[in-house]
Amino acid sequence: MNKKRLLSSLLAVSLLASLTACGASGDSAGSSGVTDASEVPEVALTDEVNQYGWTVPEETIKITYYACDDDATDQAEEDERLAEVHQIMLDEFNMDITKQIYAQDSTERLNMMLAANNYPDVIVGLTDTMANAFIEQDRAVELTPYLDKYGQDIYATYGDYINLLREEDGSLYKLSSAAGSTTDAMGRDFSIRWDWLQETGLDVPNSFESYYEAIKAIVANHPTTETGEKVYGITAFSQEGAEFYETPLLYMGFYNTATGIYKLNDDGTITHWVDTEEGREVAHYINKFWQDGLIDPDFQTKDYDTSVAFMSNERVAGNIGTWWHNYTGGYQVWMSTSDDYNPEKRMQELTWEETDATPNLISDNYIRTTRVIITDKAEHPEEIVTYWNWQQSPLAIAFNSMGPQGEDMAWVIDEDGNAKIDDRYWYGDPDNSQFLWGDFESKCGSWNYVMANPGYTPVNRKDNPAEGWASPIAAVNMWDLIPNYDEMDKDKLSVDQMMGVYNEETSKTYLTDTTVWNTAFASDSEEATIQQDVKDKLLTDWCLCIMAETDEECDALYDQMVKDLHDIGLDKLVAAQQKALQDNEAKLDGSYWENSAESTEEAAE
Amino acid sequence: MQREKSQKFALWRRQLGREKELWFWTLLFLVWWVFFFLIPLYGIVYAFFDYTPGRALTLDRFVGFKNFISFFQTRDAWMIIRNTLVISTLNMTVGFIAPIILALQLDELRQGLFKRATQTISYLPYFVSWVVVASIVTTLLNSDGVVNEVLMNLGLINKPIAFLTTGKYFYALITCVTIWKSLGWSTILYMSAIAGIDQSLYEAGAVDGISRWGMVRYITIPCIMPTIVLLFILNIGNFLNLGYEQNLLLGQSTTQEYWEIIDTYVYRYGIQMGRYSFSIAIGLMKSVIGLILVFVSNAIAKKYTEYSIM
Repeated sequence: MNKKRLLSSLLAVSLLASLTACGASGDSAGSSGVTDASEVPEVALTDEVNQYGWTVPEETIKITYYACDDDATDQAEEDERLAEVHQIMLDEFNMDITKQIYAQDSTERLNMMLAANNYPDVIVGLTDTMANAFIEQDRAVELTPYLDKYGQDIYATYGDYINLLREEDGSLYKLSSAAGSTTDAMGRDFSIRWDWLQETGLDVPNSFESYYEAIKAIVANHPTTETGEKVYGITAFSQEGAEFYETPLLYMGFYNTATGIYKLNDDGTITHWVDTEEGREVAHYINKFWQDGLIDPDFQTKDYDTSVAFMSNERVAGNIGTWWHNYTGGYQVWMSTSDDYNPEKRMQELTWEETDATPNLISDNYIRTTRVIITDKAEHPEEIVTYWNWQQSPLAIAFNSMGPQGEDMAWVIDEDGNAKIDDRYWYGDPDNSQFLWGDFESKCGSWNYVMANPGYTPVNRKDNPAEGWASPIAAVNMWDLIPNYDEMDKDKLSVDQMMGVYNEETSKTYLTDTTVWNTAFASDSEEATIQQDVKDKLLTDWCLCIMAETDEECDALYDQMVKDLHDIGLDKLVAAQQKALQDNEAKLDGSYWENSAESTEEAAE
Repeated sequence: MQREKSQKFALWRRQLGREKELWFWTLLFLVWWVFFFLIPLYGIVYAFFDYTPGRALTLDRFVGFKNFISFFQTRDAWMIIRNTLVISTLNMTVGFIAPIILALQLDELRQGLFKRATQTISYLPYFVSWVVVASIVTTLLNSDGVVNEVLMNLGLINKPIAFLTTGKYFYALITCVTIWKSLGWSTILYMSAIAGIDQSLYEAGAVDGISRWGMVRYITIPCIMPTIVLLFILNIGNFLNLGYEQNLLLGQSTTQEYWEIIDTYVYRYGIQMGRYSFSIAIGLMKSVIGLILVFVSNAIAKKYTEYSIM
C-alpha cells in the first residue's frame, strides 16, 4: 500500500514538475517597448564612410542571426566560407556578425528555440507562420519606430508593399528576407528538342495543339534512343505530374498561389481551376499525351535527379515545366560531357498566348514568402536596422552577393563609385561551365550576411534600379545578374549564355505581380488542414484523370476529382484565399485600416 | 525485529559486494533508461493540451481528449486505420513466419562456409537505408525495369505492369520489401535458439528413425517455441508502429489510398505542420494499444501454451 502511495506521489510530482518545466520557458519579457522614433537610441557613428558606402560605427556592432535554410549543411564549413568576409566586416565595417545555420528542418529548429527561449538577435528566412508565432508571443520587435529613424531606404525599397507585412493594427514586426520585383528572367515554359524539331520540318509550335503535334512527330521519328531505350514526349520533374496542369493553366492566364491555381474573374472573384472549363480542357489535353503513349509511364516515381538523368539521356522530346529543367537536364549536361557540343542540340523554350488572357508564367511576389524579424533578444535593434538600411544600396548588394571588390575579384568599384563587373565573371570562365557564376563563388563567397537585402531589383525605388551598375548589367539581384545581351559582345558569350539568346527568339517573359495573393494559415487552423488535404487529393485524382484510357473515363475522373475536392472543403479554402486577396488589396492602398477604424467607430456607437 | 532487519541488511550488503561488477554495468543502463525513456515520459501531458512551442501549459490550454478525437474526425481516418491494420497484420503473419522458415532452412545447410556466407549476405539488406532500398525497388519495378522486362520476354504479359503506381499492388509490394530488408537480421535469434538445442535429442530422433522433416517438426520447432512466443509478444507491442519512411518513399499519388498509415499521417499532418500535441496524442494512443496487445497476447499464450513473458 505504501509502495503504491509512493509511486502515485512520484507520478503526481513528475507531472507537476513537467507542467512547471513547460511553464518555465513560457511567455517572454516582450519586445523593446519602444513605440516612437524619438525613443529610439542613437547609433554612435564615426565620420568615416568606407568604400562600400557604410558609415563606420564607433563601437563594434555585434549581431547574431539564424539563417533558416533546410539545405544547410555544416556550421564549420559555413564559417570557413565566410572567414574572409567576416574579417573584412571587422576591419572595414567595425561589425562582428555571426551567422548560425543548422542541418535541420527550420520549422523544427525554430519551435525548439521558442520552447527553450533561446534564439539569436535576428532570424532570417522564416515563414509567415513561424514569424507570426514569434510575434504572437511578443518575442519580435516592433520595427516601425526603428524604420522611421534609420530605415528610410528600406521604406523606399518597399513602397506601399510594406503595408502587406503589417499586422491588423498597422504595426510592423517582420520584413521580407528578399523583397523586390523579379527581373526579366525565364519562367514556366513548354520546351522542345530543337534539333529533332528541325528534322520534322514543322513550324515552331505556338499553341497547345501544335506543340502536341510536334512532340508526336518527333517521337515517331525517334522512337528509341541510340541504346534502344524508349523515347517519350514528356515526363515529370519531381512534382509527380502537378506541372502538367500548373504550366498550361498559367499559359491561359491563371494565377499560381500558395493555396492553389485560380482564375481571376472580371468581377474580382476567384474560381479554383478545377471548377473551370479551362481546367477540364487541360486535363483532356494532357490525357491525349497519355493515350498516345507520349508520357513516361513512370512519371510519378521520378525525383529531380532521375528526371535530370532521363532528359540528359535523351529519353524525352520536350518538357512542360520550367526553364530550369531544360538547363539542368539538357544542355548543362550535354555541354559538359561533349567535346564538340553542338548548340542545336538543346531544349528550346517556347511561350505563346493560348487564350485572350495574358499568360502568368512568372509569379512576381514582391514580398516573397520568407521573412526576417528582430527578436526580443536583440539589445540594439537600431544597429540592426541601420545595417539593413545599408543593405538596400547597389554596393551592398554587390558586396553581399559577390564578396569584396578588387582587381582580381568578381567586381570593382569604378571611378564614379559604381559597381563594375569583371568580364571574366560576366562572360564566364571558359573552363568552368557553372551558370554565370564561374569559380568566383568559392573565391569570393556569396550570400554573405544577407538579412534584408533586396532579393530582386527594386522597381519602386526613387532611383533607377540599374543606376550604380556598369553596363552590360540590365538588372541585378541576389541570385542572378540579368544579361543585357544587346550591349554585350556576342563573340565573348559562353555557350550557356548563348542559350539565353537563342531562347529569347522563341520565348517571351510574362511576368505578373502576384504579391496581393499572399496568404498564410496558422498550422493548427482548419484552413491549413484543408489546404494539405486538397493538395494530396488533387494530385491523386489528377494523376488518375490524366492516365485515363478513354476520353469518357477522363471526363468521369475529372468529375470525381471536382466532387472529392468540394467534399474535402475546397470552398472554404477558396473563400479564405478570396478574403486574403481582398484584405491585401485593401492593405496595399491603405483602405484596410480606414475600414477597420470605421468598423471600430461603428462598434463603439 | 531490529536484529532481523540488521541481519537482512548485512546479507544485502554482502550480496551487493559479491555482485558489484554486475550492478555497476546494470546501473549504467539504468541511468540511460531513466534519462532517455523514463523522464521523457512526462511529455505525454502535451497530448492533453493545445500546445504551442514557447507558451506555458496553463489550464486554459487544457483540451482533454480533443487531440485524440480529432484524428478520428479526419477525412480519411478509417482508410488510414484500415491500411495500418492490413500492413501490420501482413508483417505480423507473413513477416513473422518468414525468418523462422529461413532459420530452419539455414539450419539444414550442412556446408559450413556456404551456410555462413548465406547468413551474412542475408543480413546485408537490414543495413541498407530505406532511401536506397526504395531506389532499388523503383529501378527494378519501373515500366522498363528488370521485372517487367523478364515478364515480357517470357511472354507472360504483353505490356508493362505499373507495379509502383497501381494501388492494388501496394500491400504486397510493401510487405515483400519489408520482409526482404529484415529477413536475415530477424533470423539471428532463431538461429541462436536452434544452436542451443540439445544434440542428443536429434540423436535420439535418428535412433527412432524420424526423417529430417520429422526432426524439424518434433524437435526443432518445439524447442524454439519459447523464443517464437517471446518474439511474437514483443513484436505485437509494435503492431501499430510501422514507420513512415518506406511508405513515403515507395508510395505514389495514385497509391495513397493504400499507403497512408497512422505513422505517415502523423508525420505529414502532425510533425511537418507543427501540430505537436496531435502527434503526441496519436503516439500515446498507439503505445496504449500496443501495451494492451502485449498483455492480451501474453495472457493468451499463457493460457494455451506454457510460455509467456510475465
